[in-house]
Amino acid sequence: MKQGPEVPMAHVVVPRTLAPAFAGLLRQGIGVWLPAPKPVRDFLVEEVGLELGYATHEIPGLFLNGVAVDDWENTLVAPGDEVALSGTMPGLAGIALRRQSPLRSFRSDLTVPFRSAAAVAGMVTLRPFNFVAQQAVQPLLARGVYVSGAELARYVEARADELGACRLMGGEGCLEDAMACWRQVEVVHLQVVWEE
Amino acid sequence: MKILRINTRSRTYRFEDLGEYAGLGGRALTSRIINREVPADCHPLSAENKIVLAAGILAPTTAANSGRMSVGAKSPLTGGIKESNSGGQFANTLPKLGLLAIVLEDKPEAGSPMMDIVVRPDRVEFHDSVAAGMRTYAAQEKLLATYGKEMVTAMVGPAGEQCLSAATVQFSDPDGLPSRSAGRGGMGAVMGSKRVKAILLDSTAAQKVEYADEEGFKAARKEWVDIMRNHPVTSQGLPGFGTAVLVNVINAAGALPTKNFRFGQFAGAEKISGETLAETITKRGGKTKHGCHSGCMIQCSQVYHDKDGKYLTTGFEYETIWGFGADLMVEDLDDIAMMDRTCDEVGMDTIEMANTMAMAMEAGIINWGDGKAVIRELNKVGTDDPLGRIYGNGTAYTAKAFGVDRVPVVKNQALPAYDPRAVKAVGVTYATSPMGADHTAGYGVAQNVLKVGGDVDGHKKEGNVEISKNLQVATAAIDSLGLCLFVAFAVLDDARGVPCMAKMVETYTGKPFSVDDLIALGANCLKDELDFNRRAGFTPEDDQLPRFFQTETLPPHNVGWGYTVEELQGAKV
Repeated sequence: MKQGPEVPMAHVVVPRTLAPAFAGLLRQGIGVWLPAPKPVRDFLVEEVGLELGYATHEIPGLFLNGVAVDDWENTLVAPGDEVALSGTMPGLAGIALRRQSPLRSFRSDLTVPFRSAAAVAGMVTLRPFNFVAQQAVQPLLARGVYVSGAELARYVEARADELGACRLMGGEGCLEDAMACWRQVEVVHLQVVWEE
Repeated sequence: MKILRINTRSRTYRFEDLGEYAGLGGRALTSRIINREVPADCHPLSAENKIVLAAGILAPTTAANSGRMSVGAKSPLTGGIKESNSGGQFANTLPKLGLLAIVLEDKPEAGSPMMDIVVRPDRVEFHDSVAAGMRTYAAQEKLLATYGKEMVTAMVGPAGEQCLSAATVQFSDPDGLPSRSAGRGGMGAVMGSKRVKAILLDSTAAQKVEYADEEGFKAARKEWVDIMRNHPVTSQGLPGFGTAVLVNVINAAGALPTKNFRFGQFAGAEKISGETLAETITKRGGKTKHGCHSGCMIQCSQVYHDKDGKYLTTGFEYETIWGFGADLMVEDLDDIAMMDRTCDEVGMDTIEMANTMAMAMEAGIINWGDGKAVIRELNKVGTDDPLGRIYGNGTAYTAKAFGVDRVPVVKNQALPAYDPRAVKAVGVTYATSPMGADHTAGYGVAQNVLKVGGDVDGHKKEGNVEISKNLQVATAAIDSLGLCLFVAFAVLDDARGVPCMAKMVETYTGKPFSVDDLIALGANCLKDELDFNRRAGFTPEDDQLPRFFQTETLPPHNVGWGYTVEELQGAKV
């Protein structure tokens, strides 16, 4: 994570087998720090940390602020934006919503127009869905993401039975105490060490 | 293959050669029979109407995903022709009895008892129904206990017995449960009007299927399987999360109709998403993969358990989850699952009933988001409660009863789960399909049918209209072969797909069957349907979306509609 905001850290050790339980957290939306506006493709590779081949072939659904992205090499992501990612999608609408779909004209009103963006840094909300959330949960959380402290506490609390084996890194205390702390702050930097 | 014709008044039957209907199957067969044999201006519940249950052309074969069933009649909901498509075991079993279709004709005197019709290899039996008045799950148990557990069933629930316009025909699935619905257009009401509670097929029958070129067919089938296995949607997307994988995605794109089509996004979408569904199923010991018929290799269905880990429902689709979820602003997946089960039990269409409940919410009968109240109201259908009689006749009828003017129907059939202002070609299909608003009417995507990269410009209005027409033609062809529409996803991206479908038909029948023949099959099917509707009194003015789509834009992207009646006519063959 490059030069992100200074916020409380939530460093957690999680058994790798519990990774799927965190996919829902990603779907709710996580923050990724963006040093300056850049094309969607570069954002996914350089800031989110996805392999270019994976992003190219496994993420047909790419949405910037709720509209489909076709030209990901030239469409800019800027601070304050929301980027949603989906794996393969069924249905006529699903086909039409694919990046560079042969049926993209079906949703011509839902296509990102060209725009410029001021060269400022800031947070981008990333929402990976379905397979992308499942497949990206480990590398993303290992790299570190920003999440609402209250949301994180609520998420962990709702899965207390499932996530009982998680612990804070370095034996800094129990998760329950940490959650009380997270609830008080707007944003925390969540980073996970996956344990075999 | 034969057609079994049953006179429901005299309780007699005869087997007929296909004759003038040779070469047809599925939707092409149901629509041709209805167009030729049913007076277009008849009352849909009268003796003049017929109901046709037909397997597809490829149903007798071992082609993957060829077990879809077509049910056709003049619709009591739309007043036009209808083909309603379903999974279940019926289409696979009919050919084992040497049958391609069953036609129910005439109707008994008023007050006649409901009947069960048992089709065995050597005879057809008629019995006063042992399950009259029963909900479908209990009826299924009773029917199997009475006639044998090897029976495959098509039946109506209480809604069908009361001849309500949203009534389904329910088919038994591979687990023997009556969970599969020919949902749209009130086909259950037509079957109920003929006093038929259930048709039972003896699945122990085993008439051998003759292939004109067995080796050729095996080669084509192998290629077909390869196409399905190698496509991410059919091999990964649908088996992973089912069709409900679309909830989050369509919501993200601002096209998920919410609060009776007022908004394109629902704040509670994640709680009812395919991902949440799959996680819930896994935790409770259900199944995230399940086929609606034998021979299905996509497995987009699932088995959903309740909080206690007991079976609740199956075939829990995106459309149902959207309709009872986002459109009503309900965000409790268990409530929505119970609504789905209730619709299967009473025998009513989930899309129609979800929109009907929206009318009840518009009228203030129940509150937006109140899932428990929706379950309560749905349970009134099929009982003596007069309100249930209103609900069971669908969205437009309920809107009229309650004085609601925001009515999401085309040709009186309620809209499905994609807002037409956001995805225009879907809207063109909703408006112009002979079926009324139907998301599956323009699904059959195929490269060479669409001329992708060719001469259709979808950025122009006329381009979207032309594409919608091509999709409708391709869909009608797929429905006529008896294939699951979801094969269309693989066919879009694999140039071998359409020729392979044609090759399977050719090697099975021994008659030349080209890609052009396949397209002609779909186009002629649509011509039959449009001809019937024209004679039934439909005009271009009926090919429109409800007025509010013209006058309101859809948040968050504030997109509008803007197609005129004249422009839309180009989508008709």
